[in-house]
Amino acid sequence: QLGSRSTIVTYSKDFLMTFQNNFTDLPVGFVMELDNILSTLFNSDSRSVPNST
Amino acid sequence: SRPTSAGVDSILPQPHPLENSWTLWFDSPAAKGRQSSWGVSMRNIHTFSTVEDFWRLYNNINPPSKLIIGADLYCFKHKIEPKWEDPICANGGKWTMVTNKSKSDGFWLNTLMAMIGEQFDYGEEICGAVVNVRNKQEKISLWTKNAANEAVQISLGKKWKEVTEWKEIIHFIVHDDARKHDRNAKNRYSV
Repeated sequence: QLGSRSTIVTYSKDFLMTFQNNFTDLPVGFVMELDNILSTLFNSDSRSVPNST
Repeated sequence: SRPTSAGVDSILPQPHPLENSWTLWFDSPAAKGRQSSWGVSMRNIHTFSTVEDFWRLYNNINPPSKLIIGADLYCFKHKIEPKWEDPICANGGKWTMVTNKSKSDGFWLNTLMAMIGEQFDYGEEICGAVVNVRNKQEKISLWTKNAANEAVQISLGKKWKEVTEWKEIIHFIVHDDARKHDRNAKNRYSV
């Protein structure tokens, strides 16, 4: 899973996929105003993003 | 009793660091419409450096099939701007795959995982990837640094097809050719 190509940190797709369902909150410290442009990027279930004003 | 901060640190799993930090950029037709020059309306969304933060971001944004037509979503190595003018991109080019409408989600995710997981033999030659959402199709491109190095480009193109399970021929266009000839730029390599 965690491998090394010489000194490079590598992760296989299968290993990365095991994390997918466990990290659904936005990154800690992520603060961005959800304006009319970004509201088309973030999904409706997005957490921790302030509502558009 | 509540655990001390030292106690919490000792039981929390450690995040999995990525070899590179990556930045997500977004551009939309609503923003482009107000700008006169290309690239000015691109928004730097967030930079992530761990497997966990990749998923925290990815799980909260729409896949390409749910983005509005005209949107561009970029994932580039930190401090590389997704523009021809960026000095690291300037001598590069891009491999491109074109999917039917709303068929790019899996190819996009597999591209991201191969990049951040460093699955390419010449991963240091990659700048990033972009998905362009258009009316009838979606286009995913893998941007690389040194277009003149044919062996490296061929290796990257073949590996990209492998990790995305893409079955059709893909083509490589040099940024400089695109700059000079726009849509008439010829394919430099194909795999």
